[in-house]
Amino acid sequence: MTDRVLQSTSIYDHFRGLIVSGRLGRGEKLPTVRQTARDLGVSPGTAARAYRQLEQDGLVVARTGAGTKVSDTASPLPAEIVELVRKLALKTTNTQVDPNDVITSFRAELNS
Amino acid sequence: MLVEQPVIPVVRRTWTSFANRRQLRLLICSASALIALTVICGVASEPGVDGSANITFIGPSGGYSTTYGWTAGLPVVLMTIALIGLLWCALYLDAARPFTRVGSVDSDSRARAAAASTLLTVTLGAVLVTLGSVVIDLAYTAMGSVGLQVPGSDPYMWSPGYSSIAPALTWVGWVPQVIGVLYLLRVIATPLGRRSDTSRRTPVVTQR
Repeated sequence: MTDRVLQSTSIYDHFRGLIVSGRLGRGEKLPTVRQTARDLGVSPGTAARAYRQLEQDGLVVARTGAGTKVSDTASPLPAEIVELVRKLALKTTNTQVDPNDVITSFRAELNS
Repeated sequence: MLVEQPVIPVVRRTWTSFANRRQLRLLICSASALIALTVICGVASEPGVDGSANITFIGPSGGYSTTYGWTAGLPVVLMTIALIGLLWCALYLDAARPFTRVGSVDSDSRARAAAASTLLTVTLGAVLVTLGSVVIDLAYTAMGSVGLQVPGSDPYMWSPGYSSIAPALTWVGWVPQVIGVLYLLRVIATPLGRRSDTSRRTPVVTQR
């Protein structure tokens, strides 16, 4: 039982970190409880407990059939921006350019 | 020894996560066209004396020709739906499997994307070849005029009403067939190309 609580607390901490840091954007869907449970090798009940805790803390909104989404106030960034950032990071890795050059270019674009 | 470590998920993985969106859109369009064409032909078909259901063109004096209807169309629709269903299951299972180790996420993602691409290419090839065959079948029926010898009179020729567009329809049918065959050939050729390309492969990372 204690192990399960510890596991669900770890899952909670992980997703809380992702949301608060902006790696998951506002309105973005979290992985399903089943996927999280399967990926981490825990029972679906343990993953569901973590999701319930996230919901109680107002970090996510869960709707039956629509999945669990990051709430509108939890993340500093909207989902569209996070998706673009993710694509940019992916492209940067795949094209093997220096990430620092990309960041410098992005800053310059913002300041222009 | 391979030691498995849980990889903490960040984003939701769905059946489309590792699939090529362009291929997926093309598959949806071609499968929809095939099913729509089959349903239209099926609705226009008539039951024959032997229990078949085909589109029947009746000539001026009792001559007739038949073409694509429910007889061939029903298996086509059922098999297309079954093929798409199997593809969905395979793509879902491809995406749902947990990653084995943090260090192998990139290579695992590449392998999953390659598997998804192969599955999509095979399905797309099969659907396009079938779509092309159906269109060509309809075109050939209109192009091949039917002759009827009535005793005491000269033979006469007739053809269905859309025979004027039949040559164009043949080309319309050839296009998806050729593309479909090329897709299937690509699946066969890909492992050969991959073998000679492993030394100069660039890393491709996909979502976790």
